[in-house]
Amino acid sequence: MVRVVLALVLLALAPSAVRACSTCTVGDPTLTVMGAEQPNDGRLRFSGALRWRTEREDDGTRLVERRLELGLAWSPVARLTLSANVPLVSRRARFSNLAEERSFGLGDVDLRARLLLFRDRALAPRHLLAAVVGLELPTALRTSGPYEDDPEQQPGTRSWDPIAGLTYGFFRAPFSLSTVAVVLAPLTEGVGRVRAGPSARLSTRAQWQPWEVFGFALGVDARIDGREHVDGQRERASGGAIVYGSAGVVVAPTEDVVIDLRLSLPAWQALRGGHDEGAVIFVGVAIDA
Amino acid sequence: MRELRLALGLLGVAACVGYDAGIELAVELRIAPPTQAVPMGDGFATLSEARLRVADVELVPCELVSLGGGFDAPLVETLSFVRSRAHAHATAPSGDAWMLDARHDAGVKVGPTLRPAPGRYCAMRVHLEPTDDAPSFALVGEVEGVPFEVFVDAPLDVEVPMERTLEAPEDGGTITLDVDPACWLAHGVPEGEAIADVLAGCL
Repeated sequence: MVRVVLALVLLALAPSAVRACSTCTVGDPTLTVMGAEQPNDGRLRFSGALRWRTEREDDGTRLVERRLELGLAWSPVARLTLSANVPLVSRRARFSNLAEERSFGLGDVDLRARLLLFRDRALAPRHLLAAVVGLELPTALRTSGPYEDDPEQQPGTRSWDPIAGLTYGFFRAPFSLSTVAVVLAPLTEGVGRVRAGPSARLSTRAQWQPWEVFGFALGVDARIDGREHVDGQRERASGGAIVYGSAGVVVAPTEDVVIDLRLSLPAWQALRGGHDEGAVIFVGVAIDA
Repeated sequence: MRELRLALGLLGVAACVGYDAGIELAVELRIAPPTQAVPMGDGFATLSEARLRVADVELVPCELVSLGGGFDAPLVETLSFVRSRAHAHATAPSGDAWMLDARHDAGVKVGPTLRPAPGRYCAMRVHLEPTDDAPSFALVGEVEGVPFEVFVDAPLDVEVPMERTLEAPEDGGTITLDVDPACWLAHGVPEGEAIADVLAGCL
């Protein structure tokens, strides 16, 4: 019986020579998650992702945040991909004095443009290098109450934050690697007259895709945050660094749909200001139109 | 672009916020009616200045009170890592400190609201802090023609004894600190380390 089930599973996951797929338009069978796709003229992708995370502060505050991120990526030409990410944020903060704050609303919208700098060949490229520029908009909901001036308790910074960086993709089926390195440099003050420090973010993901519709991924996400300025004064208890390790799977239930499931755990953190970030659970769906 | 604005607007309308207050302790600062002459010993002292500047207020848990009856500063520093204190939840509505001028002001001023964790608290620590223009504490005047002048230009912590058990939001309320120069001078002009003790007995 076990052998029969195993055979059925392997049959279901076996490559199909005649199956059409969106990935074929770029000549590579790699299932790419949102942001790591290979560009081609007119490619349009929608995405929805649910990100669940926790945070604990030394003063006893516990935070649970669920973000629904709605994304759109469009390549008018192969060299350029424009994307927008609209987060809807649900937060529940429990404070040490037994107070509880719940909020739901828009977070900071993120607009990006990715310009292809290098591609080793037009069809089925193995190396892709692109520049990214973008802007995070001050669109987040601002909660009212005793914590309205505390950026830690808000769903977004509400500041104008330019973004610049590079992405690199390596594709050699069944293996692939995607890396995004960006710097985010807040231009203006946001919630509570706080100007966040510059933030450098690195995300690397290695994927092994033994079957056409299923793959495994391991990743590292790192962030280094500069110190904040409050009313023009440097805040010593802010900024720091954190590194997450992640593992997950990628599944393609139909030819134009990619599901990305991931669990990230903090492997090392040195964040100032007395707070610890917890696990992140990520469930994402990308759909090629 | 109009469609994008409309979509973002709809998302903004959909926003909602809920807040359930926890344990809150409002601090009131009650200043005695201004008077130039206050009783002191068998006579009166004439005051020209009586001010203090409150920068912050926090509650001190009973377990951080030393067995000797006073407060053990190193112990407080050590244990503050394992147990949060109310300090982190003190909020100043104006974002400023409270300058209390007992020669000219009177009545009740709204102080900070403390949001402590559940627990038993045995003291309130009132943190006085100077600025370039104002000392932490100033008491100037004369007694029977002899002038006195007390200025504290350094930060000063005043530990006001109190006992309060806070376990649930309904245990919160209001606590009043008295600013009364007559009390400060009841046993003579305070000096040196005695200033904090005198203020602790009077606030």
